[in-house]
Amino acid sequence: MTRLKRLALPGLLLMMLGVVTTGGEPSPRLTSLFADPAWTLVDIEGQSHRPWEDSTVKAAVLVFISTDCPIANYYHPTLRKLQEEFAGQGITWYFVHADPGLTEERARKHAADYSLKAPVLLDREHRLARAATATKTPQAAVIRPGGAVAYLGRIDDTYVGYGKKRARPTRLDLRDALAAVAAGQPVTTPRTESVGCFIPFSRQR
Amino acid sequence: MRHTVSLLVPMAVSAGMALLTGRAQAASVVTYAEHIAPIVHTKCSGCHHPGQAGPFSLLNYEDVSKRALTIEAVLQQDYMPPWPPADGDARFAHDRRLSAEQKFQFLAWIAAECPEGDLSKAPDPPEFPDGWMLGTPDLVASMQDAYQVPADGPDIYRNFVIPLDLAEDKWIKAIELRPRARSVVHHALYFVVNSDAARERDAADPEVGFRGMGVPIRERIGGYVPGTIPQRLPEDLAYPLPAHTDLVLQTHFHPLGKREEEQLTIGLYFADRPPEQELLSIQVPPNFGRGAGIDIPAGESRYVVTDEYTLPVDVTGYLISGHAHYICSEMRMVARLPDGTEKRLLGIDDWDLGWQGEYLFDEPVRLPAGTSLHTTLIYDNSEDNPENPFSPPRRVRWGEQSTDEMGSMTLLAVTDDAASNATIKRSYRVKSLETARNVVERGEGRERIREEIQKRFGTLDGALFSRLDSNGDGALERSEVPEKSRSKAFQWFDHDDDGRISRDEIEAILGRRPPAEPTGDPVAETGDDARLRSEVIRQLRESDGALFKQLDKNRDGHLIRSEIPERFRGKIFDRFDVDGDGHVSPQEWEAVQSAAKQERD
Repeated sequence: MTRLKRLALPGLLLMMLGVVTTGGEPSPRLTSLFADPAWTLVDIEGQSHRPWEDSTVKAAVLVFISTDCPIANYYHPTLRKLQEEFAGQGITWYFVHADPGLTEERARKHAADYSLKAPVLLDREHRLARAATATKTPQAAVIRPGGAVAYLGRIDDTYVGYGKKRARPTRLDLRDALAAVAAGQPVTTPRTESVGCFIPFSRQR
Repeated sequence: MRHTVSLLVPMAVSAGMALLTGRAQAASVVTYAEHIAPIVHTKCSGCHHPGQAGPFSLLNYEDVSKRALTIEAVLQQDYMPPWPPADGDARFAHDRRLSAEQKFQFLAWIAAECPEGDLSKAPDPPEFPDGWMLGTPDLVASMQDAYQVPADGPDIYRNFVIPLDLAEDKWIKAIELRPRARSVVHHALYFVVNSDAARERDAADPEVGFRGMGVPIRERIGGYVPGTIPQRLPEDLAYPLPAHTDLVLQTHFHPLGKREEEQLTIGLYFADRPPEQELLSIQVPPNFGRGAGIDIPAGESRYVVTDEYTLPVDVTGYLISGHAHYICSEMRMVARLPDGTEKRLLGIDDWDLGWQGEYLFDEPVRLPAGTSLHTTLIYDNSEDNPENPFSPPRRVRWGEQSTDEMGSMTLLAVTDDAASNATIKRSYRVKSLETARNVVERGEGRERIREEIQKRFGTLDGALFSRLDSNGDGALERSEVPEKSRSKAFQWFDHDDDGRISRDEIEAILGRRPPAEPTGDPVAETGDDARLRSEVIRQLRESDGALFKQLDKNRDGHLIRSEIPERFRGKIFDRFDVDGDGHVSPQEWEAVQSAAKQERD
């Protein structure tokens, strides 16, 4: 049985600093993992992916999801539409489960149920979540080659809080960020607050 | 900042716990096995187990500790366990909230990083019978076909008929709903509707179920929201379920990212015999707020609607509920007793149409004759209300679509004897009529008809009239109106039932002036309205109570057009069919009649 722990206080403070930085894109602080030109991801089918291998890639999007968070699951159709909209514009997508207890088999079933159209990764030790300073699902991290996290936050503002949902979103934050990245522009709102389920961090690193 | 708060609160809580328990190391004392498991099992697991509404299970240490931070957030925001009623003067059965001490313990346990304790001593998770919660129902019925719930898009409201084919009257003690895809069914309200009307309405919509209500509701008999534990009505109380009625389930779906197929099944538990006293539904304002002045200007952040009804006899209240749509923000019902004391019966400070429960009083509430039931409804139609379905905000009026508004609170109560029952029914009819009259006086009914016409015919301007009037005699005959709109057109416009629609008749319905902007004041009565009303009243004086029964040839309890003598037809439907559904229900009939009597006296 895994014993799960709250984040250590120093880690939390760093995270807070990341969250309150709004003036322009923050410099890569915890992102050495993403800065590695040979950064390699292995999906649940055993396939390896090297996002930076292709020089036309403008950003890798890590979408932190979970099999049983209703807010995260609600967004799959929206994410699919975004994938279609930005097809051919140098955006490469990955779905990341940051759940230490999740099996490949359950993740595979979830991917089939929700028709996920990108590689699915298991981040059981939270290496990706910590590097991206992700805390919740759903949360999207848009990473530029070189490792800068150009955007971290919600997909849009449909959810205002737990159980509080708009009929339709008024801000399409992830879409705006991707449009900026695809156009070679800085992201105007690089950090937003996500509403969703917390990633179960453990203290072991 | 939020992180800081979320850290500090549990710390303070731990300190509080230390004081509470008198131990030096409180945080290490709170363990899953000893303290948390019993809370989880009694307050969370009911919905959070496989097959239930909760999106994940909360049954054991791993389930709970893994979601500790999410649990902390939802506890601090009072989002879970879900319980909309604010503290008032009445206590409710099945209160799902954690006690202050339980909440302290839970937060302290999370702050202490979820100590397990001796898991071998933890209580076993509760067993949930995979069958019906109250044993085998007396009647199990399902939707005839499955409805496809799409993967995404806005929430869906749809009504489904559960055919019952009942040959005799029954009395319902309890109802359990079993959805096939429970996670997408957010809530369902149960209505009793005449089988003919329900099935006809269903057949008129090509897809499974139908939108909007548009059928006369005979009874509202509670509903399902996540967390509802099926319960038998107390004592000998039961809801009537007359022969030849069906259940109509008004269902709210949350699309959840993948397609689902829903075919609702319902289990009914019947009483052995009819109850001694009828469970009366005292709705304030009546008719879900139609005529209560729900006409909310765009941008208005605090629009208040109040109504009251004074009980003519002693009653005992058993259940209470409220109903409204998206932009309602608060509602409360207060009982003002003749001795001047007040009882806050139900208050909801942050109305959410997704959690509209029916609350059973822990102890029945005794209310003496002369008590005023006072309802306050507050609406936020501003841009700042995230639940506003319109951006930018639009004027919102009473209506049956979920983007229209409604608003009322209902006390379910019984009287002491049959005579009091008759007295309160008479008095409530008058109340109901007074409200219904506002519909006419404020022009609310006319406006809705005008909108329907625009939907159906486009604008009904002079050009359209001239085009239809092919023989150019200044009136439309049946043959001049397109067949698909013929019966509606004549129902709406042909006031004098002479088989012709004159320009004047159209003007009478549409009003000569463009719709006035809402001022909060009733629209002044036009000469036409006054003449029509006095004519209806004159005809009523010539009729008596037995007339309704005599007219109701198919004995379905409602009057349809063909049952009404031609010379009454147009005016009767104008003035009696208060909810505009094309049927005159006994309630509508009696309401108008007793008003006429009042006016005469």
